[in-house]
Amino acid sequence: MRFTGLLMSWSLALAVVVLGGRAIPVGEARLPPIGPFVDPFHGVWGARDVDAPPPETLEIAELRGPVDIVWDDRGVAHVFAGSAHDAYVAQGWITARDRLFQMELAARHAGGRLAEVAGPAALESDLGARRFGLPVAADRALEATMADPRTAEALEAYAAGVNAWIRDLRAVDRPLEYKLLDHHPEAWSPRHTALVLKGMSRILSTRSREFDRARAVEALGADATDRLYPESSPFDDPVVPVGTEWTFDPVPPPPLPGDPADRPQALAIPEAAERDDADLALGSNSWAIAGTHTSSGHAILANDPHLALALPSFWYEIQLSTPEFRATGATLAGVPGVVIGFNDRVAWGVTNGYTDALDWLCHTFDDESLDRYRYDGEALDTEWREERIAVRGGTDRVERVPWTVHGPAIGPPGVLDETSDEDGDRVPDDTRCAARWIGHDASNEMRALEGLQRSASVAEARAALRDWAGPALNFSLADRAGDVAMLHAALAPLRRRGQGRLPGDGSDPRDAWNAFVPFAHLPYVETPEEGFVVSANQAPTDRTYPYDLGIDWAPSDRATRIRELLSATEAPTAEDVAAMQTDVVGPYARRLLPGLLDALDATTFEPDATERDALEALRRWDYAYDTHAVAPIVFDRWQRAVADAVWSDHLERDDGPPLRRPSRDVLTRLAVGADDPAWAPFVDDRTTEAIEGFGEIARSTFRATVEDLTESHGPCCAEWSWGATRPVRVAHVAGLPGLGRDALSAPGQYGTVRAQTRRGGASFRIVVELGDPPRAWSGYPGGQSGDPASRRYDDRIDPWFAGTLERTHVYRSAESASEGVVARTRAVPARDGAP
Amino acid sequence: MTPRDRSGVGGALPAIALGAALWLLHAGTAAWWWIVALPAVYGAARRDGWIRAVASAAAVGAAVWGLAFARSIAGPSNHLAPKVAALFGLPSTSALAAAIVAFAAIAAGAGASAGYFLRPRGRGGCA
Repeated sequence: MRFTGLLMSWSLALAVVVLGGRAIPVGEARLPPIGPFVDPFHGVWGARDVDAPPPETLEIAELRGPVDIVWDDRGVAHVFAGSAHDAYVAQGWITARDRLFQMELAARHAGGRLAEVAGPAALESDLGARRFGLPVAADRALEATMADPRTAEALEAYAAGVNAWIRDLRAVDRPLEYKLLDHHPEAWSPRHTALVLKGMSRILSTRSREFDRARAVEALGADATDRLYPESSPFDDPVVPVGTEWTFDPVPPPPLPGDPADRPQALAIPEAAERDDADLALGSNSWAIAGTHTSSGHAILANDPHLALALPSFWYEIQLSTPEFRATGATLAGVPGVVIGFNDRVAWGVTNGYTDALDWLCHTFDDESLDRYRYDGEALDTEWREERIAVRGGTDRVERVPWTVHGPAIGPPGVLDETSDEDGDRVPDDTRCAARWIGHDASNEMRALEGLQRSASVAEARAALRDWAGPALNFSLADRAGDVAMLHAALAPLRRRGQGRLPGDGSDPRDAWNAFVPFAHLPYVETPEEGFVVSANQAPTDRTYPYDLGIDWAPSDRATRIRELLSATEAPTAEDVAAMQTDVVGPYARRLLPGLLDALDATTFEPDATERDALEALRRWDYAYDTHAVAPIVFDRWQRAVADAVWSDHLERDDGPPLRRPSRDVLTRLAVGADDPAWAPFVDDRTTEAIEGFGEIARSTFRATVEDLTESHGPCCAEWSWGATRPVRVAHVAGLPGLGRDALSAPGQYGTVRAQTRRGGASFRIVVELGDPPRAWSGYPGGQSGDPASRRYDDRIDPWFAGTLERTHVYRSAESASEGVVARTRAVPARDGAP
Repeated sequence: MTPRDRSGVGGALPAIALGAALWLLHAGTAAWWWIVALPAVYGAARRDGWIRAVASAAAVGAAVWGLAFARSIAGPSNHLAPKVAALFGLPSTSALAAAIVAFAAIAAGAGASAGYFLRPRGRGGCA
């Protein structure tokens, strides 16, 4: 008995100690060791009070002089330094204090090093980054950035500040995520910043639909492909207004001898489809109003970049004041300087430009070893890059990636999934497509950002953007003189018209990028007659522009609505502009719905009571996607059902995934012009013998829509509100459950100015009025602190969802700062000069 | 109260001492496993029967971790506790507190039991 008791007791006690101290594998994820994690003295509860006032004094060895930091009531730090160097040191320290985990996560994500801390669950993500050559891209950018003394100093100073914070960070004070991962922060370096920037570039500039288009050409023919995936739309409302004359002599693209019709459009490639994520739907808005057209007489700039909504937020607000510049606004955690914001004389904002920055160039290799390929008539050796990925709790993964003169030969999408075995060894095949991506070229975007901070006029800001290579962005600009401008900034390949629509021939140098559009020829508009400039990811120009920048722009809905609002508002105030940012009227619905209702009315449709209520809601709708409105969900589901009915039978493939859906503009054209013989074949359901008309589609899909909604939300219309049926989620940046916010209700839709999808939306909103001094308002769906223990982790979510902006404090000096000041820190170089 | 009656203040003193020692040791080192080790010493040193040793150690362990948890979530961790609860799939902070208290009770009880069985024969003996 005693022996049994001894054995059982010791077994249990040892089990508690051993198991309580070990990470617990759950599938491919790992729970942290439960004992130390929940230890109330040193575990997750034992950390410092992250909301305690910051220190009054601080020593940072790398500073060259004293720095004053003023903390305001929004958790924003205002840095007053004697030099840009010291401002960036302080920025690094401050950002690490609030966002350390997010910074490391972003750098590891781009660098393909997540599995090193997160284990096998992150391997797929790491493989994607390594195969695409993101670390290579970052290294090339870093080399260019470090070659410039000013940007090199910025990156090094910032890293020194981050590392000063890490150096003093006690293990118990690590943010929650580090404790969950049982990981200590790694030292920051300029390369980490380069990786963060490349990671963002990848998100914004790697959309490519060449393989989709190639499949469509093969399945439907060139004419139908051009009809379904056109180069432009009658609803286009470009950034540079239609009718603008081009005042330069365009550089001709490289000639292509012979008859283009004889030229093979693409090599034979495996079936594959690129993915679109409708729940995410990235985009942005920015506009600027000249001082001559505003109430105050000062130029006003508005910007709201749309990204996946995440906690912590992508953006981090800061003010940096030095004798050389005073910049205020939002930056990316991990990047020195201000990315979106203003100084005393200039304000700047960004939207994604969507210039085609990625071409796929296909090679037939000499054999299945992929060791040699042809280019310009010569046989070249493949450059094999070995990528070793450390996997926590597993064995290292070694991946050999073939690079040709164009880039990593990793296409078409899916080819690696099919040909790589568990050990990363290649299964033979001899056709691969190389990714020619602008992000792989050496560039120094930091110089452009640095230049913006120092610019004093629209002209100077434009000149600073000469260094901007990618991702292609529309920079909205406004200055103290009241001028405004919009520049489509990018290193844009000089292409033949149509080049890059389909995968090209990797062996032919004429399909390569041999030159770029001159900076002076990039789309640019400055203080136009109408008094404002607008960008919302739409086409930058009409088709008269002499260069081919691509075709995959966002629909012009948001731009059209912004122009409409600006035209209808005489002499707007900053408050008017902020209200415009939350406008939820949907131009797409306004165009399509009347056509759908007309089509329905033309049939013998006899609605039942529920259908009648739903129809009534649609007929009374003002096209505003308000949270309480019923019509938006009915319309949204109905148009999806119509799109399904129209496209499915034409786009489904027996031999692979379906072809990509045509855009909403194309569906609208079909609905409006359904009687056009050119559209009739698409209206007819090919799976039935009868010839269907659009009215029949409208009727059957409306009936099915109401039936579905009734089934999921009860009879019309008590529970059919847009807000309740389309919940919005702000997820934790690493997807950890419990650390995000779910089931939020928000108005708007992808095509409204207040762009809102289930997982994406305005990641930051700012309105700047460039008086003396400038005034600004801002907000974002998150909080300044990235630490889940802080009350500032998500304190801005509610105001953001309510659509309100907070006044941005801008202080002239540390001494004069008073309004909203909650704490002050004086940072000095370490007395002994050593860390 | 008789010398054999340990249900009163006299009987509670060792448990109070155990609690104080646990608190101090936890606060002084980064090791979490004192919640097992110290009750083992307690179980080996006390002359109680097995049930009393285990029960009092479990109660003290639960109280120490529970109080420390309550103290921390009343202050700097009040924003964190609900998130950690959700992270572990628990419905509320109370459920998280209950889980932590249960873990501490099991750990301390197991420690006391292990210590109890290390006593030399004749000192308290098997129940």
